[in-house]
Amino acid sequence: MNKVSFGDFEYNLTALNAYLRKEFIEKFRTLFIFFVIMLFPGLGSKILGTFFIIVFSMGSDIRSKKLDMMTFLPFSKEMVYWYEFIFVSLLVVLSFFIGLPFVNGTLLEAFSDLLGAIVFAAAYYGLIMIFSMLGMDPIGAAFLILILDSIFSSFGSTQLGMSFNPYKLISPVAQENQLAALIFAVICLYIGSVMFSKRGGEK
Amino acid sequence: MMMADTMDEIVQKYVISVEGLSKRFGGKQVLSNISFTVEQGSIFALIGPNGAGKTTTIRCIIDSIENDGGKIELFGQSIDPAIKRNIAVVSEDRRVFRHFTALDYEALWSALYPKWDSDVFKDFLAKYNFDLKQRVETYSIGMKTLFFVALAVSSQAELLILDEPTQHLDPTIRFDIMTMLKSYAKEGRTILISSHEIFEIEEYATHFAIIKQGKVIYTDSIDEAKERHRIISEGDLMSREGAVGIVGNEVLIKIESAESGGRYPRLNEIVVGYLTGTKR
Repeated sequence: MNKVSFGDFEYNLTALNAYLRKEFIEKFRTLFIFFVIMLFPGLGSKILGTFFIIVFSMGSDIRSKKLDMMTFLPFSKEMVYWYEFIFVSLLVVLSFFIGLPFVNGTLLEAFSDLLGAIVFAAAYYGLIMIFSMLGMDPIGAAFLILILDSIFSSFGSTQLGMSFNPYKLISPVAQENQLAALIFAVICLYIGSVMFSKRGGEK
Repeated sequence: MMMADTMDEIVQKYVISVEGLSKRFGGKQVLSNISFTVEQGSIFALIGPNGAGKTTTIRCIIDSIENDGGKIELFGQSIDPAIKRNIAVVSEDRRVFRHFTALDYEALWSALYPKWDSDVFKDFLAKYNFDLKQRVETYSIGMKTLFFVALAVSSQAELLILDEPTQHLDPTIRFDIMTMLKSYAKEGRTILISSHEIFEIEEYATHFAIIKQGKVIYTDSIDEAKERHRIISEGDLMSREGAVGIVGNEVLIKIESAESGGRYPRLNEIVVGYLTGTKR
């Protein structure tokens, strides 16, 4: 984004608010079931819910060529990309706080699950955008990424040795090292942003 | 207020400047070296048959898709989110947010357009009997067109970009819309229209560009274009130069001097002449 968009912070907040409102009206009914799944304690349920929320929000919009409806309004492609990620993250955070009273384990573990879910969301959101901008169907890309991620993170170990598998450290599903996974997710999110800003979901 | 001041500073003679625009989808060249300018206060019509590249040109102008080549400036600048707040667009496909009522649309547009005029919007809805609580998706295609034009006009944006704004409308409502757009432009604001309704464009547009197969083959003000062309009979063609194209049983020619014979063409004859002609 350029300096003009950063300069008008108040307007950007208004635009973000308008975008989120639009997303809640349009998509919450579709995404509700996945939101409920995310209410269950543990990282697994949050990852599952987050995956389908990404697939049925931005993935579905790209597939059905609905992005023009946003870029014809005063939203740049960068704004759409980041606002959508904020929308997904907001659902993850909301589900976390609603489900917090039912958490088994310590608060630290619960917040670690929240961080894990955000890392997963960032990595998958970025990767799905990257694959889509390269011409793949976004929903197909999401499942392909999930399969590849599950396969590559299923073998070997994170201990140095013959079976050392460094991918397990950064895998968005395995997240054997949360800091490394976070860095990987940020990189994916950034590359996705650059590619989406250039092509804007155009196929 | 700050937004309005900023826009006043950057508004130049040309609200839109497109130079050498090209775009390819896959292996198909959709736009090829498109160039035209739109002056402030004008109603500029992009005219051409279906598939000529009008909508793609609009999508490039508002940065919905990335152009492969060429330069686009809006208000003398490259497009950015701040500039988009002064551009209201009505898309050709009239796609709507599925669960949005007219009230939801009003909330969205009024939040995004700083100069939003709710009185204009309410007057419009009252005049055409819109139900604010009805989902816009359930409107007829004509109602959707009318509703989106209402949103665009209520935005009070400095630039309206309207893709086929009179399509699917009754003749009386068409007339209302054309009258409204003329008065909107009279206040110094600019309108870019894409249309293939060549008979009605003359009623409200001031300038035009003819697009054929992804190229602008002619652009001018409507008045100047009429001055520069004549319609002659096919029999007189042998003694004349500058034939552009056939219009029914007659021929459109481009003239060099005002004394040339023949009659003045109407806009639709100029358009047909260029579209049937082979000159590019």
